[in-house]
Amino acid sequence: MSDDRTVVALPDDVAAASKLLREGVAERTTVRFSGGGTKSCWGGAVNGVGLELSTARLRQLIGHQPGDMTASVEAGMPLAHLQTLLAEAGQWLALDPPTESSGATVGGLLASGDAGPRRLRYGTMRDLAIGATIVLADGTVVHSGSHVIKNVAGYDLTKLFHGSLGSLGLIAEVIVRLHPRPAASSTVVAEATATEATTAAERVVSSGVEPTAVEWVGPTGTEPGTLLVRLDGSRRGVAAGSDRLVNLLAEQGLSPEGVEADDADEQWQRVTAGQRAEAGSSVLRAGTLPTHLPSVWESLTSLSERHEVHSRGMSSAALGLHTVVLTGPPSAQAAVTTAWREQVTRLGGTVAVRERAAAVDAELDALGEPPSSIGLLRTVKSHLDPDGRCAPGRFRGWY
Amino acid sequence: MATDLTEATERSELVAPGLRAEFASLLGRGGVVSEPAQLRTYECDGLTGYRVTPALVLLPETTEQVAAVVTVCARERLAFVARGAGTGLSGGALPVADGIVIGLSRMRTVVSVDVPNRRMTIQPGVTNAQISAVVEPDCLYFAPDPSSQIVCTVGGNVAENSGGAHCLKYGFTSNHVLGLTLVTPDGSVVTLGGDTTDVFGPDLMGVVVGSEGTLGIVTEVTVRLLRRPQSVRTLVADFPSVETAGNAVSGIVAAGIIPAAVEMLDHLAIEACEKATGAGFSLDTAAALIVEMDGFDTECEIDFGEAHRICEESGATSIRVPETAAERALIWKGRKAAFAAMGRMSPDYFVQDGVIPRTRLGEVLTRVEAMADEAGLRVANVFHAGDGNLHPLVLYDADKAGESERAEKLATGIVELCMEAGGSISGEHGIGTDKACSMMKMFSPDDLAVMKRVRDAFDPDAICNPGKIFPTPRLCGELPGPYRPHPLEAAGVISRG
Repeated sequence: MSDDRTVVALPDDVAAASKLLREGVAERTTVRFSGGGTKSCWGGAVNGVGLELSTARLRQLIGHQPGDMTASVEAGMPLAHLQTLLAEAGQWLALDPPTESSGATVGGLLASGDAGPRRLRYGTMRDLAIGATIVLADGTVVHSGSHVIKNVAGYDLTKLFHGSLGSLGLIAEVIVRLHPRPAASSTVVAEATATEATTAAERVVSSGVEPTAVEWVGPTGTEPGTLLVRLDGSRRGVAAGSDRLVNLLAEQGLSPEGVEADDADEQWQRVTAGQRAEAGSSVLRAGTLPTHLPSVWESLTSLSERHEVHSRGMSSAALGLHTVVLTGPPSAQAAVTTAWREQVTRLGGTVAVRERAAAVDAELDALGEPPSSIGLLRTVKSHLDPDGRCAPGRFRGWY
Repeated sequence: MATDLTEATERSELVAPGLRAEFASLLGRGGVVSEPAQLRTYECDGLTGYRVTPALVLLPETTEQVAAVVTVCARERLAFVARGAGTGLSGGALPVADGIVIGLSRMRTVVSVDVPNRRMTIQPGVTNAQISAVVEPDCLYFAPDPSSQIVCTVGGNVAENSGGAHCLKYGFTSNHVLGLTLVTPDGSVVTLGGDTTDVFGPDLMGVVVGSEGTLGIVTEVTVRLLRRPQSVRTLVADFPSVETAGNAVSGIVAAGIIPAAVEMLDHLAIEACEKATGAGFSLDTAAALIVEMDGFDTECEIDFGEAHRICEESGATSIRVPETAAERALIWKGRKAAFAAMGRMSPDYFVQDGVIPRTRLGEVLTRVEAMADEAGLRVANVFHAGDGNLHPLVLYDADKAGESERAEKLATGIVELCMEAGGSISGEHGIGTDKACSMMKMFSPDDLAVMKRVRDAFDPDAICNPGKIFPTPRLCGELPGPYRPHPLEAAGVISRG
């Protein structure tokens, strides 16, 4: 790490952020944007920059319009705090990312696309952010979108910044659409193998009962895999839905049970906690077609056994998203990752490496092969950040 | 202005015969339209006030053919415009004089259907309604439902980020596209999105959807399919005023209900729809709401009961609940026919498409009424009340001196009023040619300059649907230049903060 010379700046408004960036134009000062720091390891490492621009002081709720179900916030607003403020009006920003409890910010969620189990119903910030204020490397302040949900005027730059991991500019403010907080929720839990979970997820989603989350926690040691299906809505609605789900899963030969709210919260927290890395472990994230779930897990299990790596994880079964934690010698973790990525890619999917130890990082690319749109990504980057000042190295191997 | 035939012929001849032969060799003779009378068919889209006859129309059938003809256009710096069914309402598919129209109507293949993963890949010429028809036996459907869904194509839906009546709950085309094959303006073929919903890196697909054909030509679309809602309940409630109907909408939302759709029609709109379709709307009411709930049956019943009660409490004078699917379909047919039905009320009309924060509804409508009175014109209102997307129809008679100018001014005034109320100049029809000049009211020169940088990244020679979205001096008069920091500002001596 050569971060000793990095100046950390904490602007307290958009104009100050713009000024800081503009001041670095002449010297071509490189810059890294930081928020809650919960996903700073995503993508390639960004080291040795001249400036770290933190959104720690950009954390105001700019406005909340309960009747319009929209809010505008500064990017450094922690999601957990925003939820408390919105709860007063019976509303929420419909995201439940695993990083919420550790300080994830609204801007960081847009920059990373991170989301949780209820992504099945509500999507990610890609679906929930309806506008943004962005500051480019040259200090230009850009407004995209507006305060209304329905809007097709101009290019959707808010979406362009989704997943950009700070490589195109600073997300300074975000306008989001809100949802009513559900009055009640219920969770149905059943032991299930990967194959059973895949079939169950498909049936649950086609049943007409509209679940907000369908997660499968993979087996560990002697513990079998577990399927969790969540319903949110009115008290009577979720009770009826829960009965329907229990019957549906029982028909499939599983032994489902409805779980009381408190126990359910605990179960969901376990899902969240299970995605966190311990020191020295790696977190991988794969995306495939939902029906590939069993093959994805089968190959992971056999590779882990072969390389003597311990693996655990979970899948958003109806979405085809898989989060895996590997523990073991770094070179073995890297070998499993490389081989698994090859197999998942052959299935049409992708694998990104999130948290990882430096020794693992040295052996592989965090993002894998660039997509066919890499030429466009490079020209978009060079048009918005011509001097390559924003987050150099974040998309190492791509641009 | 329509181009006369001689002029069109001359234009067509401007495209060198050698080039025409080259296109014919790529597409076959049937794939090149150069006969002036036939070219005239392509001179406008749903915004018929603007007409330009293209020099040539090309009708490719495959991604490779699109890439091949775009490569030729890029080499020759020939402007091209992609076109689907031509139902767009903002002139997004208006041809460029001396340019090429690439018509995608022959690309109608369903490439693949994946029921277990609830997705389908289609060519851009497949109609919106056909997507749902293909998977109807599997109880699946494609959620975006623009009123033109019987004829409009998915390629156009992608270009315009189409919405429809049900997007309050289900979102827009952008929320339902999982992957795209894009021919970029230099003729390369790239895929965006794909099997995984977790795409890394800046979301190029998110910016291509809704870019109105200015960033390339989409030749394949993979869409997300949803399970058809188990239950659908609809009511039509009459109200003594637009305000009381607006209050009912606010009440429903405040109760924590997200309806599948909430549509409002004012008296003039009701009259037009009823005359056209006989859908059973009351002719003696000032305003009507169509409220639809759908989803899991128990939840749907609960929400429907609640919405019914809120309409009553807000002063509904009558509430009709259709008893059969056919009756419900007729109500929607009536609503979706609103624009076309307006022809019965007035020889000419402008359709507007502004969005306001829902809570400003009453105030904005009152102001629209005053503006209409001042202009001496009638305005019929049909709108997606749930999301504040207004479609005022400004009625006029082009044969009466000065009336069309007054109508155009009123239409522009209304949309700018929406913008001032904190909304948008377009909710679903797009900017196209029609509203390019209004972009300057909604966005700062810097905002537009950055959008232009994105455009330049995709299309450095500006050959892909030029003249759309961005205001140009020719259309809008002198434009302010993009923001450039003063040297003192750049040096940190002065600040505008």
